Formats: sequence, structure tokens, C-alpha cells
Amino acid sequence: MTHPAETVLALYAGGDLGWWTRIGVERHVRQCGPCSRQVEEFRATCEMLQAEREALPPGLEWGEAAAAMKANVRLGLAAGQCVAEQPERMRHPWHAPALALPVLVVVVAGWLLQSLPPAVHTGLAPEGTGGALVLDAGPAGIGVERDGHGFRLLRPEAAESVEISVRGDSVRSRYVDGETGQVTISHVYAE
Amino acid sequence: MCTRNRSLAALLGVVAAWAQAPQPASSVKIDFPNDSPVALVSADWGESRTEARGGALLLDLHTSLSLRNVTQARIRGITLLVQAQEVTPGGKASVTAPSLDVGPGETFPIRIDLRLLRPMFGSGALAEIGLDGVLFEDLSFYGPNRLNSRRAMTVWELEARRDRRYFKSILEARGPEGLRQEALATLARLADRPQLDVQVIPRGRTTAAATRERAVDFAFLHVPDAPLEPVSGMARVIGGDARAPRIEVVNRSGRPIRYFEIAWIIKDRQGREFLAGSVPAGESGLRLAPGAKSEVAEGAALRFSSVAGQPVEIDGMTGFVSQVEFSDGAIWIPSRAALDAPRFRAVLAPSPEEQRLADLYRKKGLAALVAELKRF
Repeated sequence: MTHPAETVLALYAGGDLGWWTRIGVERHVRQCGPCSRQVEEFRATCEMLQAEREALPPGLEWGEAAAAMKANVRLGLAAGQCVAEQPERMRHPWHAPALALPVLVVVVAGWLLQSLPPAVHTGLAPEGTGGALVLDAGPAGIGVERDGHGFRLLRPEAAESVEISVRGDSVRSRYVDGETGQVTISHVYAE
Repeated sequence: MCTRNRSLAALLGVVAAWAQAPQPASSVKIDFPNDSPVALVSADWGESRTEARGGALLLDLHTSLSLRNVTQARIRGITLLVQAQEVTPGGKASVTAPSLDVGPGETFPIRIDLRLLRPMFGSGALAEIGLDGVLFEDLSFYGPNRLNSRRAMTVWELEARRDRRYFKSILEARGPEGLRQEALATLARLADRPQLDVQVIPRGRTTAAATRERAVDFAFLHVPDAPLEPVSGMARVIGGDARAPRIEVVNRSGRPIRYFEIAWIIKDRQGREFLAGSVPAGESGLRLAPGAKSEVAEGAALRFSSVAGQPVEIDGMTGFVSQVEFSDGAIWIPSRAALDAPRFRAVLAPSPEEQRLADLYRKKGLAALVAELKRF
């Protein structure tokens, strides 16, 4: 038979176990003498500590202690007057929205930046093209781009003997696929 | 907080993060027409990832689409249209696989590596992948052709046939060792070609310093048998920026022309030449009668820089006719003999097919290259 850990029995004795674990421990304690005795010891210890906590220390006069505590509270309140106005304002109802507003601005700005057309250029557009459609043929392949958006027909790693040329409003790339031996000719066009 | 509550919070966090991060499969919509000649077999999103960057999400979508040819014809090329209108209105892209040889019922891969930068709180599909066209062995075409992929894929297929014929002729005339030398020469050209980075602003200018611009005239290379002849041309240049190229051409053939492209070579102050691209005629409305003159003008502004990021100081420009489409749909491309002239070989890139064949030699050796040539 597997016995619950000592800490589990202690929590069970104090009524601090979750309901599901408690059912299991309860079933075990009913059938197991040693565990049942240990639980009884924990309960007895608990009751003894409770009784000692409730008893006043010898020589303590409750009336004097109460008067001293009241005096301390008043002193604390008087001292707090010096900084009382700022905390009072903290309780104004508009203060929470005022704190939340900058957070909201940051969140909305982040969302807008995510939604805007990406400012990630593929490096096609030469200086001064001013949003024009640009065709490009280079080491990475041939592509078309406008305002940072675009697509590119990539040159495969296995491409060999690459030829690039321009034909009117289009650019062309030709290569032999090293894997298949097939010639591939890629074009990008502007409409 | 007890352990149970902490676990619950962690679980909720993981679920929230998962819900926030777009999943690759739902970020891209793949939509082929019902009568498409190719069917989507699978889409592998293996190494796709999502990363937050400031207020944006960076999506790296890496997929390998497996497509099946559901027709009875052999497929030579395919172009997929990639659009991301929510991310970049006005921009679109395409991925083309030329030089294919896909038989009926066979599957083939198309790899798409796409990076999207989008606002954090977007939703729905970010990119759409559709079909712009499929080119078949007999040069017939299927698709909406919104990117004029029919013409581009036809040009690449004609170049592929031209260059396979050339390699076969080398094999017949000089044997396997001759073919090896040719493949090595192609690989050397690919390795020696200077690389440029470029930026294009359609209908714009790259700098405000228009007063310091200077007009630079084109010089032209003569291509034997070209049905078109460029007669004059210029562009506004400042440093590594060029804009508004204009080229005047005359139709020297006996057939009306509806489209052409002039290849554009730029030379820097050190005398190095780079093939920058091409100046195309307008996509619609051109009908250049025999003997007639026309002018092609581009409104785009271009900025060239070296791979290290240094601007390329443009000192001169050269052009030549690189393709012509006649009104009946027939297409002219320069012959292999014309392109073997030293001036062209120094600047021009090998065709996609020549690049593929040279790569095949490099990876699998001469026997594989010979076997590949015999397949066609």
C-alpha cells in the first residue's frame, strides 16, 4: 500500500486539501491505522496551537493596548496629511483611463504599423523611381516591384550558365537546371 | 502557471502561428483549362518557407510541378503564366521550358521558385499559375498566348533545329572528336561571357539628370540574308543608364513583315561588349511592306550594372537583326554560318538548345551527346 506523504496528511488534517485529493486521502485514512493516527496527532497539535494563540500573554492589559493602538493610528493619519493630496487625486475616476491611454496609443500604433504596406524593399527600385513599377534581373533572379511590394522568380541553387537580357518592357533569365538538365527561361513583364 | 496550463498555452501558440503563416499549397492557385494538352500530376512544395519581415511576410515558394502530356503529339515547349496581382498590380511573369521532347502520356517536371513579399494580414491565393501556351513538334500551338509565347517558343524551336543540324554536321564531317571540340568551345563561350545586372522602368527614366544625357548612335552589324536592314538608331545615355532607344529599319525582302527584334549590344569604356537584350517592334499593328521603312521606339529606361553592382559606363551601342516574323507567320532567324562570324561569337550567347547539349556533354560525356543528337 502506498501511503500519502506526511505533508499531504498535515494539509488533510487542517482541511487545506483540494476536494479531489481530499476524497482520495480520506478513503486511505479510513482504511490505514498508522495514517489515521498521524492525522489525529496533526489535529491535536493544531488545536493546541489554536488555544495558545487565543490566550493573552500574561500581564497584558487589553484596555491599555487598545489605547496605544488608537494613538498610533492617529499619529499615522496626521503624518499622512503631508502627502494626502496626491493619493486623493489617484482616486479620481479619470485617472485610470489617463494611465491606460498611452498604453492604448502604443498598441494601436503597433497594429497600424503591422497593417501598413511593408517598408521592406527587395532592393529593386533605383533612386528616384517614385513608385514606378521596376523590373530587375540580378544574382537572386528576376523580379518586379512597386512601392516595396513585389515578387521574384528565384534562381535555383542548381542553376548553371545563367544568361540575363532585356526585351522591351521585360527582363529575361535563362539557365540550365543542374538536376534535370532542362533549360528554363523566366520572364517578368510590366503590363 | 501549472504544467498543464503551460502546455495548453504552448499548444494554442503553435496553432495560432500555424494559422497565421500561409501554407504554400493555399498561397498559389494552379489553374489549367479543361482542354489543356497537359495535366497536373503533382505539385511538390518541398522546401517552401514563410518568414516575417517587419510588417510583411516573405514567402519563398519552391515547387516542382509534374505535368503529363495528354495529347497524341510530341511537346517541344511550354510556357506557364505566373501572376501575383494582389502583391504587385501590373506585374506578371512566365516560366518557359523550351527544347523539350515529351511524347504522348509522358510526364515532365517544371520547376518554379517564387518569392513574394506581402502584407502580414493578407488572405487567399497570392499567386496564380496558368498555362500560356504549348508548342508541338509540328509547330502547332495551343493556349491563350497572352504573353506571345507562341512566337518566342517557335523561335527557340527553330534555333534548336538549326543548332542540332549544325552539331550533326560537325559529327559527320569531323567525327566524335570534332563534336567534342565544338561542345568544349560552347562551354568556353558560356564561361567567358561577361554578366550584367539590369533594371528596367517601363515608360520612365532612371534618373532626373536629363540635362546631362547624351545621344549615342547605334552602329549596326550586317547579317547575311536578313530580310530587314537597320539604317539608323540612337538612345539617350547617361552613365550606365539608357532610355528611349529608337531604330529605323527598312524591309529588304519581298514579303510584308509584322514583327522583328533588333539585338542590342552595349560597349563600356574599357571596350568590353555585352549583349544587353533586344529592342522589339510593337506587338500589334505593324505591317511593313516590302521596301518600306519603319521606326521602332522603346519608352523604357534601363540601368546596366556589373554583377558587383558597379554601373557600366555605356560608351557605344551596336545592333543587328535577330528575328523577323512575316505576315504569313513564317519566322526568319540568322543562320548558323552568319552567327559563326567572330564578332557575333564574341558577344552572342549560345541558343538554349546549344546550351542544353553542351551541358549534357559536360555532365554525361560524348556518348550521351551523340545519342541525344541521333534521337532527332
